Amino acid sequence: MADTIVTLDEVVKRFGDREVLSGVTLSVTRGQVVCLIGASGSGKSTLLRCCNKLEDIDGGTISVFGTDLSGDDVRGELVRRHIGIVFQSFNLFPHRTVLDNITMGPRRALKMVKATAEATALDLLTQFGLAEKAKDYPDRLSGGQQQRVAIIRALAMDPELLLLDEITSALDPELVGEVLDAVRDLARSGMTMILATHEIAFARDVADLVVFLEGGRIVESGPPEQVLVEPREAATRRFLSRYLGDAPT
Amino acid sequence: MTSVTLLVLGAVAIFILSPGAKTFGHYFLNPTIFADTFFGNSAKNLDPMWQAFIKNIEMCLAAEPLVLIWALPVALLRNSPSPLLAGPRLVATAYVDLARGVPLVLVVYAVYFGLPSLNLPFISDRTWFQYGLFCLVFCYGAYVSEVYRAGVQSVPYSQTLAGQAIGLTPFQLNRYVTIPQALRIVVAPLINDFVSLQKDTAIIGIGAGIIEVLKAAQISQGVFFNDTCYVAAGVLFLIICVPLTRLADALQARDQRARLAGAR
Repeated sequence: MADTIVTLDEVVKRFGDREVLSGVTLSVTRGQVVCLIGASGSGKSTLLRCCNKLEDIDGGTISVFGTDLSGDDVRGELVRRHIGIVFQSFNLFPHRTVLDNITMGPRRALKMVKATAEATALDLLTQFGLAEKAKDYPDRLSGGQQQRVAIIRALAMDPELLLLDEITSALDPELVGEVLDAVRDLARSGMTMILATHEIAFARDVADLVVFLEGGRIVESGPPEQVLVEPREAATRRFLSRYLGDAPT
Repeated sequence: MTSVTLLVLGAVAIFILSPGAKTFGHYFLNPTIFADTFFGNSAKNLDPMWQAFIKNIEMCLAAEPLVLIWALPVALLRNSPSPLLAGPRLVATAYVDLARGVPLVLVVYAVYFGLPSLNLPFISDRTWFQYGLFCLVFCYGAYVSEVYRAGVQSVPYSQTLAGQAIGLTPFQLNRYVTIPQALRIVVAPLINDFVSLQKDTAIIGIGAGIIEVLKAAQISQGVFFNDTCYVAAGVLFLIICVPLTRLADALQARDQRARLAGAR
């Protein structure tokens, strides 16, 4: 039996009157790469944000590493120290250098000593080919570089789970490749990841499980060969044909 | 450019060519009176006005740090979403409304005549200078707290999310992410408020007790029966305020450029 680290059971999330998630049930095991696909507004981002308690849920339960996140006594910041998240718009701290962006979490949240945090950060920067950018401010970097720094910032916390929220959607097309390559390497290294993405080909390549969302519900989920190649549901086929054009489905 | 020059020349011409120009010049722009007021006149037993102006500078330099400190908890309270702080938040809001709504001169009267008459220990036997400081901090604390608040709110929500994402506590989020970014935004508006505060030290003299520059001008006016002393007082304020406003503008322009350069 694989080690289940995330369990969502009938999760409901509302923003005011609008129900964004209407009973989502999903479980993720260690080392699994789960791709959430679906149109904008289908609830992908909200689902990710519920997994690290950036959003509180209105119904159902979420448990991550055995902790029930729906409890009022659960402090979000403690949950988030084990779960990295990377956003569509990078969200680097513009007033801090690349190195400081990466070490802030380890130093402040994890109380790591400065030298250790910086050594770890520099290792990661080297691994991602960004070592020479350590002392630069984020506005000196290209979008692709900024997004890779954002990934490193999340990895520096040594997370057991990484959430990636459409991390290539704000990038120029020629910069998408470098970011996806970084994610592919992470997947190979065994990192557990849930990613919301519009990159269908990429999802087919890296995903262990593909989940198609529509209107806050899971319409279909399964291995990529099934959901992306021979979808059972008409809604999935419609979505894919819109995204892939004439590609065979 | 030429139209501006024309406007300025026109305005000057109105003063020079007006029927009362000579009288106006004598009573408002009298060089002898200006010098006597500015540097003092021992024959008339008149102290130099620049000495009184030092009182204004002392007052604003003493008040400004207190204002900057006092405004911070007020702003943080007003911005806090916590339901536990609903009561204090209401008090803070009421204070800001009151202090921004009541003219400083009325606060000065209330404090100078009100507090001593309470006959309380400590509160009722402060010096004029301390009462003056209290009035300035009371009024400007409210203005500056609103500047802080706007600064914090102008930091994008995505920055809060990013700080939360790396496990920062709410306090750390303020300390390392929100406040440092808000400070850059508020520097220029804070200087503007400082300029206002520096000017409003003149109002403190109305209450009584302190010979600051406006009081000195009134005394000089009583000696010479000439209004040039008020012009002298104005010149003293301008010497301080104009460079400060230029500085605020320069910082604002710099901040603007930094943001256009792509800081998200």
